[in-house]
Amino acid sequence: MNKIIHTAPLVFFGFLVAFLFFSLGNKNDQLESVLIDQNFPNFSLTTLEDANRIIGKEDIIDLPALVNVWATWCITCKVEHPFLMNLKENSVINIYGLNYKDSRDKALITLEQDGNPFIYSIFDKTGSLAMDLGVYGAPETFLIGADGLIKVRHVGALTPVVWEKKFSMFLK
Amino acid sequence: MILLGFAGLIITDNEENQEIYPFDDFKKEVRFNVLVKDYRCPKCQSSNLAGSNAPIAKDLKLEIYKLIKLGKSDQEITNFLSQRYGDFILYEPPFNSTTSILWVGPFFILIVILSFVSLFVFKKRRFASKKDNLYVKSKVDQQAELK
Repeated sequence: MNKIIHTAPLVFFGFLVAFLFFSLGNKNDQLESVLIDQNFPNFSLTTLEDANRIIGKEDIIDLPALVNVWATWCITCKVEHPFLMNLKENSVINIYGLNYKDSRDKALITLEQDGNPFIYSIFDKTGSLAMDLGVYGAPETFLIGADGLIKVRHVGALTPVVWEKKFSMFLK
Repeated sequence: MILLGFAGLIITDNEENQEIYPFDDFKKEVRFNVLVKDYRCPKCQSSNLAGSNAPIAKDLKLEIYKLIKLGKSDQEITNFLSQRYGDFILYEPPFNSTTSILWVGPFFILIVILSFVSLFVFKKRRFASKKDNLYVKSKVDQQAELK
């Protein structure tokens, strides 16, 4: 009994050190989205392709669909781009773009040069819709399920591994 | 030359931090300056909004500025931000099931440590008083033997 009482603080301390030590390497910069299982926020913006066409939440149709936050100033978006093209070419899922704090001309030129994986892009010059979505950098990708609720939010480039782990289960 | 370099650094530093949020009401300005220190930047997670130059931090500062100008309360602004970015960006997180360990954990550890300390102190005291008794006894015995 005495022995247990005397070693308990040391064991407790040991666990604490181990816990803190392993937490050091825990570099999780993926914020959990507050919007999981919530409705996509309302918005009223123009499309990238047509400055006169005003769209809203109800224009994101044929669910499930992806909403991909991208910009021409975003390097990781360029890395991710071939994967999005691949999704489109294999008709895996509908993809809508959310062009984030960008210039319309530059964005259109980029899509023309690199290919356009999006049905259309929402043009969010000020980042208002992005702020409602809790976006804090590009690229970010949201999956809207068949029921219209947001199922997944991924921060950073989409890759086959990420797709398999986080997205694919919602498409079966 | 070095001095000039330093001067250059100071000037560019000032220029970078030159974000002006003009208020007509001094109280609102004070609130703004307190609030931007109370929220964590979601992009660069080890700094607050005030100390961050990340684009999102600038956007959020501007948003807070607008909300204060619209006459929103601190609580309304906190709600606005946490509804979008989660409790994570609040430096004073609310008490709920996921944050309970943050609030209760330290007190729990304190209680565990205090109970161990008191256990040790109690044991030592008992041991010491036993020894005293023995000592007194032996003295009495010795005196008895001497007589």
